[in-house]
Amino acid sequence: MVDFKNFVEQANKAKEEEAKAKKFDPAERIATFKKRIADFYAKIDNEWLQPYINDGSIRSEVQDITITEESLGDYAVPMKKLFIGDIVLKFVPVGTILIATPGRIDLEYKGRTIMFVLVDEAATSASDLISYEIKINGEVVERTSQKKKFSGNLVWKFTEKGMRVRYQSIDAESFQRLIMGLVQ
Amino acid sequence: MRKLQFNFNEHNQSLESLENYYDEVKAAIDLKYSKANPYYNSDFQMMTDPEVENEREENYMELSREASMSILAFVESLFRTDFIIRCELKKSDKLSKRYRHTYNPAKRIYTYSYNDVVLDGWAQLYPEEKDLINELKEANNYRNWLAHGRYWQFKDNPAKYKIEKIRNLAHRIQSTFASELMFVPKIGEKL
Repeated sequence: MVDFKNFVEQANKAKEEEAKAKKFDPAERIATFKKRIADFYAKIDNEWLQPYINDGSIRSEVQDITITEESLGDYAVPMKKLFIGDIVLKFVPVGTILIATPGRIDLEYKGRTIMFVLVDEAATSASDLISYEIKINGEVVERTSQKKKFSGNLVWKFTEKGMRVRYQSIDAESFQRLIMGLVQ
Repeated sequence: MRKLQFNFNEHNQSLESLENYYDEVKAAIDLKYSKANPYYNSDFQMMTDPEVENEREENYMELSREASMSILAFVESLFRTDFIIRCELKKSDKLSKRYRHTYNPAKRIYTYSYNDVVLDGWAQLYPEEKDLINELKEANNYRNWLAHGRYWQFKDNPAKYKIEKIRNLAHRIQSTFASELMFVPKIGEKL
């Protein structure tokens, strides 16, 4: 059972973090996110699926959609569609104000979803990114610490929602395998 | 004196225990989905705040359905127990005579429709409580829909049967009919 002192500390901590977050520049955050999305789409077209895009066997299309995030309001982001025969894959940017990541794009196909998230290049799982400390009556009873040294370089990795989240690197082979697994 | 033949469960639940269970699990959900959860960032990584909120609401909904089913099953046990006792002990009051008219000890208890045989008896005997009985019958339809896996389109609006409404109904049923319902006697007690 969480004691009241801990409850009060957590609530005040949440308020401080919210206040800290409010100092950030929304326009800059959106611009950074859009650039990251553009970089991701460029990787798809120019690296991971390049031969197929070039010879026209896979058609790519981008259109703007509007997404809403509470601290950023409504803003336009590019949604990408890939057409492979009758198969239509949608890459839908979800947002940049998320827990443990500054960016997420969902790949959607017939109700199934794969998530692409921005994480440090060195991260392979949630425990790499998140550290916490639990105190009872001021005494630390449980603590974790980040196990890996971060590169400071954010890259897109893919994952699926679940209790044991792992981030997987993307290259041409893994991206193509991902698409085949999603569609079949 | 006649003895009861039916093999009643000595460790049946109470309305209070079912409500306590619901309250405890709801509190656990509240904590998990609040920033007071020390594992919040790990539990909900990569999710937006609306996604976390939606997931919490879905879990509330499932818990409400589960609790509603249990509470309505408990209410059914009150009336079914009463029905069995009246029939097996061949009670002579009006309700018991009505039940005994259709009762056949060779038939299984569940073949006697809860809504149309058991509850109809109470509605006939206590016409001033007809609305309450009808409310229970409608809730039973919702319970059957839940219990059988919700595979058909429910005619009524399921959202109407909030857990607070079901809890309130169970309490009103219990308080209205407590003095008339027959219960399995404890050791040393007589009916």
